[in-house]
Amino acid sequence: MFKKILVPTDGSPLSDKAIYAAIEFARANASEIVALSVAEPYVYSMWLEGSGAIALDSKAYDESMQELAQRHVQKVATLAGDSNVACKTRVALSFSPYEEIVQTAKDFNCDVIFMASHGRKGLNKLFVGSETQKVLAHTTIPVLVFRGGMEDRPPTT
Amino acid sequence: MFKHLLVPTDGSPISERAIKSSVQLAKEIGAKVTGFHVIPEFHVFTYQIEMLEDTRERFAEDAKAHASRFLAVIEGAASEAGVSCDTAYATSDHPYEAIIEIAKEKGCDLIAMASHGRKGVEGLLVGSETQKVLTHSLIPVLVFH
Repeated sequence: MFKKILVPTDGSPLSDKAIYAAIEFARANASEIVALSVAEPYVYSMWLEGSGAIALDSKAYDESMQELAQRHVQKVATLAGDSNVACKTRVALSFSPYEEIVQTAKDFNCDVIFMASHGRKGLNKLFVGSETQKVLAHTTIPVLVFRGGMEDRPPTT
Repeated sequence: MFKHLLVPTDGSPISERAIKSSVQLAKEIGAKVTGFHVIPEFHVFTYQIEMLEDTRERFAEDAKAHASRFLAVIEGAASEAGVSCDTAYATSDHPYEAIIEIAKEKGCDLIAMASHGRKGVEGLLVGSETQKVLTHSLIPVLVFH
């Protein structure tokens, strides 16, 4: 029933638990993995724009963010490969990661999403992370939510 | 990897759909399931009509009857699928606490539940009880829509 697992990652250690679980699940049940990382584009600031204080090249910024995202999905692909699990990767550039997650699940016909309850933007014990929250609200496929942090470990091979 | 699924139900149609999916999943991955239902505490002052009209004893009887009816849905689905199944219920005003507690007690490694239950989309995004389980559970939670 879970034959294609979407695993969004922001490269934070909190994503690791979902990644390891997805690979272990895929290996045991002959499923495939789709790894996604969403790079967030350069945010223009009216305070910095024209002040000359910071001459940050937005294009270079976006590119380096995408490179970073590429590294995050590559890490998943490598781990999957080590466990003989088929893995596709996608990198997207977007201000709203949850939309990319929901869309990628559709594009690749994924039947489940494995993700961390919180991402890079911080762990607040009182709430489920905002991106996870939005994915839960907008997707129609099941979502398996992992609490990040404790007892992270690589899959046993 | 997931060997024992906790499947909480409040008897709502969306819970019943989640039950079917959970049992199907358990079958495919060779896991067992524990069905679980939480009965609300009896209160003398309440907005729930059943409680207003009932005595404590009568309410307890009705609630138990509900619980066994809801849990029978899980038992039925499990036996049809050939999945090993156990059931339990508890009385609590905070279903999410009871759910997390029983998951620990029974040694479940996954909680599988619907995105919202009987109370509807009470929380802004997902139903409040599922939300609270997601927030407080250290065990992974599978949310069905």
